[in-house]
Formats: sequence, C-alpha cells, structure tokens
Amino acid sequence: MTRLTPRRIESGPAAASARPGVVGWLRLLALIGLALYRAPAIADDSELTLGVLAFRGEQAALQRWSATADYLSRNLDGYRFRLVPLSLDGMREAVAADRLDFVLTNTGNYVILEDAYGISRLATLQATYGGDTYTQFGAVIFTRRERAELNSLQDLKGHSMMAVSINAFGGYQMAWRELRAAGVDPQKDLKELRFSGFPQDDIVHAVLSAEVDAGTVRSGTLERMAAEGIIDIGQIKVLGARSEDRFPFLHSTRLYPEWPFAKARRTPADLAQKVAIALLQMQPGSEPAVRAFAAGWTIPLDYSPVHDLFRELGIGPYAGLDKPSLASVWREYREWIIFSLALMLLLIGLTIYILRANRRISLSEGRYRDEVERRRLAQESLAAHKQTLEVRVRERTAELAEANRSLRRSEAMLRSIHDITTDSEDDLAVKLLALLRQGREFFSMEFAVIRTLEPSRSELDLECELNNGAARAVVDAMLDWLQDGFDAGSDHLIVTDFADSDEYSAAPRAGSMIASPFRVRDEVAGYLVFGASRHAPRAYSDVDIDILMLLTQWIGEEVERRETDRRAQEHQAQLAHVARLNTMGEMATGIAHELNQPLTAILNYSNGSLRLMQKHGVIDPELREAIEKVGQDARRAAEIIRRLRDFIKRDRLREESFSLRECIESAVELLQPRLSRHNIAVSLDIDNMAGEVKADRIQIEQVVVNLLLNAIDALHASGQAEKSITVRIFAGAADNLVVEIGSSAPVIDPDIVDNLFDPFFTTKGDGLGLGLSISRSIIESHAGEIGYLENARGQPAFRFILPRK
Amino acid sequence: MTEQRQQSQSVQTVYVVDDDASARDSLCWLLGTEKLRTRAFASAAEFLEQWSGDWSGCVTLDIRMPDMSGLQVQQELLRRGNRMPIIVLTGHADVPIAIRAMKLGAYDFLEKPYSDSELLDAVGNALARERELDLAELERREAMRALENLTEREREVMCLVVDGLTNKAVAVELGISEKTVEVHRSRVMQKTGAASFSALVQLCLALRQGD
Repeated sequence: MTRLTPRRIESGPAAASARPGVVGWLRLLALIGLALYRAPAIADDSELTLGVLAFRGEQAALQRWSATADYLSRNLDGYRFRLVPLSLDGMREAVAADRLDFVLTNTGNYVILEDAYGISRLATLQATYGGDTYTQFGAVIFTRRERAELNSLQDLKGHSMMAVSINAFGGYQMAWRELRAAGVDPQKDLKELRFSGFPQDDIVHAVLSAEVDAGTVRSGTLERMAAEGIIDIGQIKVLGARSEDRFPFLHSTRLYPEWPFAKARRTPADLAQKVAIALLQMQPGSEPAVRAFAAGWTIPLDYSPVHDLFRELGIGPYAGLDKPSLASVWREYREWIIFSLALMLLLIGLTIYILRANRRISLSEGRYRDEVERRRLAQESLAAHKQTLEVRVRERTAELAEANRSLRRSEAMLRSIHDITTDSEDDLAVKLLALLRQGREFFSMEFAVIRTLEPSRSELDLECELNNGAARAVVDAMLDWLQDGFDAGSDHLIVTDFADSDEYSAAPRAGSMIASPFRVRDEVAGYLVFGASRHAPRAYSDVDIDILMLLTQWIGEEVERRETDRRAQEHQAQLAHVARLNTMGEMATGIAHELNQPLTAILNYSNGSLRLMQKHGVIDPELREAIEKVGQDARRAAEIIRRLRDFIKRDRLREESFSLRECIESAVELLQPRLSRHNIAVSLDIDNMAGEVKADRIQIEQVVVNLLLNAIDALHASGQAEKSITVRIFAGAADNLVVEIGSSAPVIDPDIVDNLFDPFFTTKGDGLGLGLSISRSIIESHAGEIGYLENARGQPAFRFILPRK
Repeated sequence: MTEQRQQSQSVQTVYVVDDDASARDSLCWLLGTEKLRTRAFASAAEFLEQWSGDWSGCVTLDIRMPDMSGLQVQQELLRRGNRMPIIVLTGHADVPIAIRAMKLGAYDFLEKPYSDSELLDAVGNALARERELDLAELERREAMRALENLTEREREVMCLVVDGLTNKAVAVELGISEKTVEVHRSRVMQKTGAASFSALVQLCLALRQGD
C-alpha cells in the first residue's frame, strides 16, 4: 500500500488556509472576508446544531447519538437539537464555517478544533465496558503469540503493521507516539504501514491471519472480541504492554481522555452551562447513555496529554513545527508549489488593485478594527464565561460528591441502626449504648446522652463519651433547655452554638447539640441528645434529622413494647401467684372442712360424755381426765387447721372498680394460644349496660380463667368437630351482673352435677379438682353466687353473679 | 336412736341438717344429753321435702352441702314463711358468708368445731325465741277466734272505737244512736273477754299484726 508521511493533509481550502508559509495576504483577506461575512448563523433561535463525528458512517453516528440529541432537547426548554453527522474533514469545515453550536467528536479532533476554532469542552464521555465505566482510553499494539522474535516495540522495525488511518487518534496516533518514543519511526522503519479504515476488527483478523505482523487498535477492542467469542485472546501477544495505570484493558500506550462534548466559541455561556448540567445528569442505563455505549458524562478532563502527543508528533495544531527538508517538500507538494507560484503571480496583480483600493479600505479599516476589538472583548468575555462555567461545574460536582458521601454515610448509619435494633441482644441498655455510639459518630459529636423523665426508667439514663466536667455542665444546661423547647411541641432541636443565642445566654460556654424527645404512650418520656462542648462540627440536613427522629421513634416504641410485655408478664405472674394461693387456700379449706367434721363429732361426743357423767354423778377422775384430754386434743387439732387456713388466706380482697368486659377479654387473651391449638372459637356477647364492678380483679379473672379452662378441656375431651365457647355478660336482678360461660360440649352427667363444686372432685385424669371449688370460694367471698346450668340453647354453662356494689 | 319422733306440735324439736353423718349424729347425740328432741336430715333436699309450717323448734343448718348451700336453704325457707330460728354451722368462718347468712335472717352463726356450751346456748336461746314467737301466735289465734264471734256491726263499732273515736262520733259515723253504740261496745267487751278498753286495743293490734 501507499506509504504516507504523517504531515500529509487532505485537500481542501480549509487545509490550505491552515498551512503556514502560504502568503500572508491571503490570510489577511480570508480573515477580513470572514469578519465581514459573519452573519448570524442561527436562523431559528430554538434550533441548535450538534455536529457529531461519524467515523463509521452517518447511519452509525445517528444510531449512536440521536438519543442524546433528543435527551438534550427534552432537558432544555425552548431548544431543539439537530444532529449533523460529519466526517473529520466535514467537522472541520462546519466548525470553521461556524455552522455548529455544539461539537461531539473524538479526543484528537477536539484538540485540533479547540486550538484552531476555540471550541471548548463541556463534559467528557464516561464509556462503559463490561459494566465498568472509564473516562480514559488508550491503544494496544499487538502481534501473534507465536511470533517469538517480536517482543518489544523496537522489534517491530522492519515488520509490517496495520492501523485504522493516519488521522485516527486511537486507531493510529497513540501507537505512533509510543513507537516514536521507542525509537521506531513508523513511516521509515517499518517494512509496511497499512491503513485499513474501520472497523478495527479487520486489523485484529489481519494480524491473526498473518496478513500483517502487528496491528494497533483502541484499548478494549481485543477484550470485546474475545468476549464475543470471535478471537482467542491467548493467541495475542501485546507489545510494550503497560500496567501501571490501573486500567483493566490491555494497552501499550499512555491513556487519554475520552470523547468530549464541546461548544462552539460563539455559543452563549449560559446555554452551554445548561447543556453541561443536562449531560452531567444523564443517568447510567438511560436510553441516551446506553445508545452512546456510555454511562453518561462527567466533568471535562484535562486534554493536555493530547496536546503533548500532537506536539511530539508535530501534527494537528503543531503540524509543521518540525520543518521537513526542502527536497521532501518539493517532492510531496510539487503540484501545490507550482500552483501557489501561479497564484502568487495572480496575487501580485491583485495587490496592485488592492493597493488602489487601499484608500477605500483604510476608511473602513477603523470600523473593522472596532469590530475586531469588539470581537476580542467578546471572546475574552466568553473565556471568562467558560471559566465561570467550569467553576460552577466544579462546585456542583463537589456538591454532588458531598451529597453522595452524605447519602452513603446515611445509608451506612441506617444499616447499623437496622443491625443494632434487630440484634438478638436482649438487654435494651446494651442496644441503646450501641445506638449512642453510632449516632455520636454519625452526627460528628463529642458525646451522646439519653435522659429519661420517669424515675422508673432511670436504668435507661445512658451516656457515651461523656467523661469530662465541661461536657457534663453543657449537658445539664441542655437538659433544662430541652424541657422548655419540647414542651412547645417541637420534635427536634438543633443548637449550633449556645454562645450565639440570647435564648441560651445562661450557657456556661460554647456548646452545640442535636436532640429529640422520645415518646412512650404519646408522652414525652425522655431525650436523646448528641452534643459537643464547642460549635457544631457540621451542618445538619433533613436526612440527618430524619435519622435522629428514626432513633427516638425506635427508642420510644421499644421502651413501650418492653413495658407492655413486662406488664403482661407481671399480670400473668400475678394471676399465677393468686392461682397458687387460691389452690393452697382451697386445699386448706377443703381439708379443714373434711377434718372439722370428725373433729366436731369427737368434741360433741367427748363434751356430751362429760355432761352425762356430771349428770349421772359418775365420779371417776381418771376417766374424766381422759375424756377432757380427748376434747382438748380435738380442739388443738382444730386450732392447727384454723391457723393453717388463716395463714394462707391472709390476703384480703383487693377491691377496685373495673370493667368486667376487659377482665374477660384479658382472660380470653391469656388462653388464646390454647384456644387456637384446640381450634376453639370464642364469642363474646356483652350487654352494653354491663359496665363496671367493684371486686378483686385478679380473683375474678382467675374464676373466668378456671371456667374457660374447664370448657376447653370438656370440648377437647368431647372430640367433636365444632368447638365454640360463648361468654355472655348481662345485667341481672337487683344490682347484679351475670357472667355466663357456655360451650358446645356435651352437657354434664346429672349424677355428678351435685358434686361439681366439691373440693378434690374431678373428672379429669390430671386435675386436682379444685378449680370450681376455688371459683366458688372467690365468688362467694364477693357476696356472689356461682352455679352450673344448661343455657337457653341447651348447652352446658357456668354462671356467676356479682353484685356491682 | 337419736332420731326421735315428735309427739305433738307443741313440743319443740331441733332439726339437724348436715350431709356429714358423724357430725350430724354426734350433734343429735349431744342435744339428746340435754333431753332435747332432734330430727336429722342428710341433705337439704330431704329437709325441704319434709318441712311443714306446723313444725316448732329450731334448725341447725350446715352451710356447705353438696346439693344446695345452707344459704340457698335459708332463702327457700324464707320464701315458704318458716318461723323457726335457724342456726348456721360452717366449717370455716368466712366473714362475707356470715354476713349473708345473717341478712337472710339466721338466728346464730357457729364455726365448726364449736364447744358444747356454745352450741347448747345457741340452741336454747333459739328455742326460747321460738316459744316467744309461738306465744304471740297463740294469743293472736285466740283473739281471732274471739273476734270471729262478733257480728258485722259489732266489729265496725270496735274498729272505730279502737281508732280513738268517741261513742258520739261513732254514732254519727255509722248513722245510729249513741245508745246503740254503747250496747254494741259492751257486747264486744263481753264476747272478746277483754278486761279493759286497753286490753281490747292490744287485741286488735295483735290481730292486725297477723294480717
């Protein structure tokens, strides 16, 4: 193929004008003409032209970028972005002719256009490869693994190499720079330098099929092809591989920033700023990003490495700086030089004409100068705008980064709150201390304190890192203010510095806090305070306050839940205690009753005998004494029984007014596990007139529990399918309340009905036979009555009557 | 052997109601040592079944029995118009139960085991009380019988006189002469055997109490 020198530039007027050494007159004319000719380029204010580099054809470019144009149109009110796919030359022409408002082109092209036409970058593309994002890229120079003699870039001397094109930044120029640095001039030292154009895959195939010795492609190309199964990467050997850049793809070159999105020099700064913001806000995974093979856009990177490349290679903006030999120029540009000489002759003629016209021109020159000055000022202003924009973008990026950091910290905090609160640790104080530690760190405070208001909760008065007197003084003062602050109903309080506020003029010294009350059963129960004995270390956002509230809400709910549990446990323990006492009492009463009968008989007989002896004049002192002793011992036995019973029945009734309904509901709830296990439905039929009774609540609940337990056992023993218990409460005669507990169990055998309430009478294998007996004792001690009956529905039921009092 | 048949209604009997045989038998035996008539019942039902308004004496009632509590028996007796004093016996002295028994008109309340003197005093007092009530009843019945002999007019005159009206006022009230009132009045005194006007007033009061 053709060997080309790097400085060869495609034909065209723009290329000619950029060339140094051409007559200055022409440049002057061109400049003047340009200045005169510059008409407003935007016909329709709302339409913006976005030129994109179409290095793989217009269709591919439209496919890749039209979503981005649509995205920008959507995000900028009143503007519509028109996409113009352009070749490298077309791009240069369009920028030169000022037909574009924005430019999206490759890194190398950008630097050239920036230098020549003052376009400036707004954002850098974040490319995606395999789920990761990269804002830089490089190129890889490679050969086949079996080429044992090719191990470094120097080894390429005298071998053939394939690249995309001489103007391809990633497809050739990057590799060029590294080869040159390695002492290999691709134009001179290679056997052959071949340009294949796009796609780059052709280069890889050419190397693997031994068509050429080596190739260079953009980084990531090999990995992509390997992932697609097109090639076996094991057959590839990378030359001059670099690994120091923390860049995951095989590469042999330095890394350069990805494609920039740039604005034309004249595009207003505020519009550019809006575009930049829209680009930076593009979401990864959104359509425009995916179609652009990108994760979005980031703040513009430093493109000076690209300048270095161009400078080293003497191309792009630096073309011609390293002067070639006259001979080579003549060889390369003979036709041009001849043409230029002819043109020069023509120009001399023209010059004469121009000199004549000079006078006229000098008249208007003043105006041009003014115009030029105005333009210079405008450009300066634009540069200033660009500066401002960059500062704002940096600021906004910093803000975003800060917001991001803060979100991450909040997320971590939420996770540790979750971990602490769901931990199996049972001790609330341990959990609260862990929360205090986490919160103190999260809020960047010196210490953390929980203070409760109720003495009964004083075990929750906890503190973390509150270990010096100064901090303690601040906390004490704080707690006083807190009381005032929260009485007004606020839910959190942030004091950045007590010393700043008149309200806190009593402050002992500088101090800050962020605090919130926690509520138990809708009452403020205490405060959670994070504080420092200095000015607040940072500002607090809504998210911080939300986290604070989350903490206090959890504390309040947890304290409430535990107290409720504890009360329920205490209630059950009390019920169990009363049940035990009642059982003992009932046993003692039963035993007393049973023993008292024979003791009564013994006393009757012994006393009666003494009477008879007296009456009949039988005087036998020994017999008399013996009979008297029988009586004494019987009385002693009776006394022992009485003491035993008195000891157990020492507890008086603790009467209180309570709702019978609540008492019954509490008993049903207590037995709910057992009811559920036996699949028994309980229905409550409660007359609204029922109301309250004055009685010993625990004792009455004991009766209800006993009766429910009997019903459950009877239903279970019956083995029937439909199992239900009905509890009725209704007003009885006089001022009585009646409770009736019926069940769908079979009625009780009439033969045993009379014995139901006897102590130690039971039909259950494992029963003590005291339940009903105890229940009767309790109800009778409340001046009530209890009995068995078959209710209106023919079901077995127990009914007790209590005076309301 | 302790259960003795009652000879006549005028002889007082102690009705012993207790489900426990030894307590019941020993009590009857003890009462027997004091020559008291007794009649024993092993259950509340048996006692109520045989109860008669003619019975005279007192009842000892065990509070805790399987079929029916002593309190329920008391209620039933109250309903039937029993006049015999009831001594409630209990194995354990629950204050609320004692109060309820008293409210139901129990004459006495004793805790088992009781001392012989305690019980005998209670029974003695109960019987005396019943006798007083019986005596009043006897007087009431005699007065009833006497008044039954009065004519309609004599009874009208007597009621007005007892109400405190003078002979003259009675005459105006009934539309008869004062002389006729005097005749009726002397006949009333004669037929009832009342020695004085105040005796007549007492007689009428006794009669009214019985109504």
